[in-house]
Amino acid sequence: METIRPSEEPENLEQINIKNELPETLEQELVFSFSENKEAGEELTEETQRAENDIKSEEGKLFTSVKDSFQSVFTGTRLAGAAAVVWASTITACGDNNPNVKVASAPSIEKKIGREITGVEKARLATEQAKKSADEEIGIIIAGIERELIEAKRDLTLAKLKGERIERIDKANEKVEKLKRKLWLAENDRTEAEEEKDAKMREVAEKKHRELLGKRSEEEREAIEEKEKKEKIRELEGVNRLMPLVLKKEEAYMKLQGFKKVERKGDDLHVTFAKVPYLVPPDNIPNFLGALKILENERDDFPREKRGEIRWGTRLEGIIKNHGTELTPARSESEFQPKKGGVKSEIRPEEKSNSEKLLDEKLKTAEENAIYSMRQYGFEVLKNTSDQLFSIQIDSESYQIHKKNVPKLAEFITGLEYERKHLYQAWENYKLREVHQLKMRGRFTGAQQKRINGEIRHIERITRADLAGRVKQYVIEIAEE
Amino acid sequence: MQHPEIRQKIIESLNLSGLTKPEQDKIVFMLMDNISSRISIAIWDTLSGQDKEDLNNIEKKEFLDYISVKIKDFPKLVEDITRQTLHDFKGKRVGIS
Repeated sequence: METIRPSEEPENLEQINIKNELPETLEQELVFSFSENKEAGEELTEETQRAENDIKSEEGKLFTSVKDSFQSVFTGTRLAGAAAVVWASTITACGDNNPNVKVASAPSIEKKIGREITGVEKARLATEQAKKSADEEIGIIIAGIERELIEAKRDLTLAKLKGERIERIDKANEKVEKLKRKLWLAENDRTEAEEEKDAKMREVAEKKHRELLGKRSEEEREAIEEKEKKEKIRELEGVNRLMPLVLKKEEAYMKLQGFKKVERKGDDLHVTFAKVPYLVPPDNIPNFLGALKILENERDDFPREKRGEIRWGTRLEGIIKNHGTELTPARSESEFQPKKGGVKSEIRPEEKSNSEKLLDEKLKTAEENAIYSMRQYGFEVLKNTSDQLFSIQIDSESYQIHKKNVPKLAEFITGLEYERKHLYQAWENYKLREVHQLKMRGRFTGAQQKRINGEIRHIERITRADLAGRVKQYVIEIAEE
Repeated sequence: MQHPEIRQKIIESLNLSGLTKPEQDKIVFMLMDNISSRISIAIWDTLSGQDKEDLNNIEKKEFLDYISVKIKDFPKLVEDITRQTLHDFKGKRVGIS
């Protein structure tokens, strides 16, 4: 609320309040209690009411109605009472847009307040006036519509009461609805054209939004599918390319161990040991490789001078017989006779006894290794379930395997690990070669590095996950035995 | 109170600052009701019979515009009544004390 600075002449409320009829000194000397103020106010009210009653007795309701109307004009400002009345009427008088209002120009206001009004004050007055005029105009429109609406509702009620024809009632109802709409528009300072325009814009925006959402989701789905497809192809291509490398390593490894003619025929593995051909079915290949690896580790752990005690050939033969099937009839026992003057026989009772002890010891180590490996892969192994049984917890399920099967399990895991490591290593080498080639071509970037690292990690993950799944499957199989 | 500045000026001019806020409000309300009623009476006395009929029929929001047209120097009338009411109030208060 703008305040007007007092001028020399007491022409506005603030001046009236500050420089009232009582001398300042007297006013300052007198301190009135609440009861004195209240009593004075009540006396004043009584006087005023008497004056009002005189009018009411003559003109009754009309005055009451006018008084109520007058006070309701200042709803919201009436608490400020006459001060607000003065200010509101001054502001109203400043407007020159409203033909019904007396125009008070800036000079007349300046005369009233006894000084020039500033530019800011002028602007503020103009804004206040414009707002007030607009509000009043809207108010008049709303009042008119409200009146129409009341009449329309009355007509509708009457039509219903009189039992008019349905068409008439519908028409009256339609008029009520139209007026309600008109009232809403007026209250919200909107036009039908603006509403229609906004509705169309909303509709278009919603349509676009829906289309965009649909398009995006479809595009995203296609992109994801395409990406997955490419990854799968790349993965398969990678594995397919690497498989021969892995097999070559297997062959080399087995040849190194003393097997001959190592080759793949379909999924089967064909090996020859001591001139006897064997077939190792695909399911047994991991076990077979595991057993070889255990044997190799065993040899490495032995002191060089005692390595003869391992009886390498016998052990290898034992392994291939365990995991493979002989393709020709078994050789006669005579074929195992030591050559004349040659190397002493490998089978000597006293040595066998020592060997068996060592074997038992190593098998024990193999058990420990198997348990250790399984724990590494997240399987819980309880060794002391009983003297004969091991309890293995996999995916919240418990399996019990016989102690005699633990070496088989150890072999299986070791074989798988060997396979996985070589596959992973081959993949890594393959990728490193790719890096090298890219570098040579000057096309190696950070993004390429990131991609290749991701691919290496990915193959590492899938081979490990695959291993865990296969171990679980094997445990289930041997647990049933 | 929507106009605290004016309220404060009234309180100061009537020397009500020694009272509590509810007490101040009560006095200010009472005074404002008196001013409002007196303005209504003054308007009534000023308007012609036809004007009164018209006033009774026009919308409330148009009221101030109508009054401004019909009553010459309406703001001055309001000021005069306000001044007179304050004067009467103060006179009564001094009489009581």
